[in-house]
Amino acid sequence: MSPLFQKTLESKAARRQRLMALPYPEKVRIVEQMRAAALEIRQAENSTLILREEPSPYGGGKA
Amino acid sequence: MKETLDEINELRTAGLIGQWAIGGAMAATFYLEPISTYDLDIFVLFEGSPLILTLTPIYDFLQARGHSPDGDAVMVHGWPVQFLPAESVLLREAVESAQEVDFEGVPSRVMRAEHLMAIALQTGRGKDFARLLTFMEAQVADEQKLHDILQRHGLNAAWQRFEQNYLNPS
Repeated sequence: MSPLFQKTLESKAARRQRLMALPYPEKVRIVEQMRAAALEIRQAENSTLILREEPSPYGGGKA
Repeated sequence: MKETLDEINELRTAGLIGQWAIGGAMAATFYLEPISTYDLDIFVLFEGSPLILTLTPIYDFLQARGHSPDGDAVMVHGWPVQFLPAESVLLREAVESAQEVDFEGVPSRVMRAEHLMAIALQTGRGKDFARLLTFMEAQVADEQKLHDILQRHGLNAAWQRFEQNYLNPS
């Protein structure tokens, strides 16, 4: 494992630890924000203003 | 969510539900990092009515207080709340031994980490195993308590498979 990758993993772990240590009401507020964002994305599914990416041809498409 | 939990306590005061506890992703969030979820799972016991066949009295009570149904949940102060009867022995035990939590002044109950892990193992969907792994990495559970629960509810073999597939893959 490269030192850079190792450092990234450590920083991710530290961030998760910080999130875990938050008081419950604060974590609930973060969940509420994530939920609001997810609902907004869901409601925008039919919007023509969204640039859609072609699905990746994993395991199929190319012979 | 404070107001939502207040309403659940009102259901208890009105005698429509017995002991209750938060389960699912919102309970896991108590121990882990915030987990994205759409609804709030409330597991309930029904005292004195072991053969309850419907959740209609709960829905009627909440509807009379201005909370409308939303699919298989009820929207209570912005949270879709799903009421789930704690019917299995494991779920009943999880509700009975839930942790008392003061949520900004509102008395609430959250299932314990060890029970959440056992329930995830028993439910056995992909996301349950992912959550179980997160619990293991976070080391928030009492291992002895967890193994007692697994033993009591016949989940030892399922745990061994989980260990083999996810914790010690070779």
